[in-house]
Amino acid sequence: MLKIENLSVKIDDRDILKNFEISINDGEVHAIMGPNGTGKSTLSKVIMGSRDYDILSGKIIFNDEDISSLEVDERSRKGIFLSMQSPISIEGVTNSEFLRTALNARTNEPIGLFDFIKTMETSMKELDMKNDIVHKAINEGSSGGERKKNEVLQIKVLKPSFIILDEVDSGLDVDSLRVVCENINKYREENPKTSILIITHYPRILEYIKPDYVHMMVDGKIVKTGDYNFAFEIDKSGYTELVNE
Amino acid sequence: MLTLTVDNKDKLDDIIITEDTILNIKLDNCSEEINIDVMDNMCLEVFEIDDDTSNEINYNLRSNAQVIVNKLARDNSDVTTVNMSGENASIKYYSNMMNYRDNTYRFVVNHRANYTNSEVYNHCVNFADSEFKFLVDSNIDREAIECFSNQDNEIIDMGNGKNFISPNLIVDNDLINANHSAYIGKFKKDVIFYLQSRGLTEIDCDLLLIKGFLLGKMNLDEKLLEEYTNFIITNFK
Ligand SMILES: Nc1ncnc2c1ncn2[C@@H]1O[C@H](COP(=O)(O)OP(=O)(O)OP(=O)(O)O)[C@@H](O)[C@H]1O
Ligand SMILES: [Mg+2]
Repeated sequence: MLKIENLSVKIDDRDILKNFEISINDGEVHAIMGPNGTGKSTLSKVIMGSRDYDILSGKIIFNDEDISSLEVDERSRKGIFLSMQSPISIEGVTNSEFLRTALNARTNEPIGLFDFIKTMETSMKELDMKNDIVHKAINEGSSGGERKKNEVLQIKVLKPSFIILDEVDSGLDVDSLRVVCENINKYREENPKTSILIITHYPRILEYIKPDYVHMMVDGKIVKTGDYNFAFEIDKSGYTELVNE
Repeated sequence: MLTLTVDNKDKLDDIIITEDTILNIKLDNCSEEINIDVMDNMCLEVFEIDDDTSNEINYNLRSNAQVIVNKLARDNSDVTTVNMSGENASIKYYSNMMNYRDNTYRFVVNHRANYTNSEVYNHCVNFADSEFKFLVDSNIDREAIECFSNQDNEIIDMGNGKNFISPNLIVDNDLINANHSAYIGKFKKDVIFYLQSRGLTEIDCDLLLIKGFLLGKMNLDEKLLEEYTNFIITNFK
């Protein structure tokens, strides 16, 4: 699904990612844990195609194609989705207009208004979301947790094949976290080839969405990889102790 | 509720509002003088779509008159003057421009009476390398106490235009509440990143953001929203 080779990235003359490597197969779930400022969100935005960063070297290969030179929207239409750490609000653009435009951008046949509203209503109900956000501006007046749910709503509607969840768990209360994870698991059941990269600070989300691999990222690269249990080891010992081992 | 329609096919007479009214204004390619006098206690809602005009539009608001103007225009060099001559008069004025050629839009609101209230939103998207100016004056007379005046001026530059905002508050007394703001710039990079990360093409993004910027503040029903949206799509290049 996704293979990153030798990726080095800097911003404002500071090296952030340093020869970063990862390989994620179809249907796999990977988790990345790492200290604040280590470059996790940078990685996710670079995969999505953000032009805020200077790519010094490396390749991003998605389904056997080098996507390094593709624009953000092209990557999205190929099936990559980034659930952002801090989703912004956008004045004047309603969720329904936005998502309908996004859906139509990825199909040849425009979706009818009726079918679209039905899809939205079903998905919002499954996520335990308030119905009235359809006609509201994107994330305007929404809390941190509500914004995270809106990201997951977009996953359900747009149906990507590779999903990056950048701290989707932060800001969600215990019940909401459970609901969000149940929705993601259901999505995986329905679309078993979907791969997921979970960026998190806490093992709790991984109890719901069980990863095949857990990577510890420090100072711009993966320094250690383990299985599911490694997340609890990180949680118990902390990064400093594990790095010094 | 009375509905009136004004266009520039016939000679324009002065308009006197003596009952609650919806006024539809559609003007193109003209340079006229239009006087609108809103009598005591009357409500007026205006829906105005203009193309290539340099009109002189004058509103006079008498006591307790309430006016909302929803204006969308392409290449506009109108001069609009609003006189708040009666106590408690209030106006919300939304001017939204699509600009391709050199234009100057001038807006003046004069608070002449106590407790008058004006909210002015001037938004422009400048598509070309041309010059666009917002000259906006809020004047509050010495005699007019406890007035509220707010102006919000924004220009989004889609090309390489020369853009200019002159927001002026000329206040002759202390017993008022007045604000103004001005912004000239592009759509924010993180907003475009967010929209594109969901698969929207650059053109989709621009169109969504322009529609939001020009229509977002106005209160349009479904039919009007469609009409205003079509005007934007037709003129979006
Ligand atoms: N747009 C930017 N401009 C300047 N510096 C940036 C920018 N984005 C990230 N950085 C810097 O790059 C480093 C890595 O940031 P990043 O957001 O990737 O960290 P992170 O691992 O996601 O941290 P956290 O766990 O706190 O979310 C930080 O030191 C940050 O200050
Ligand atoms: Mg982060």
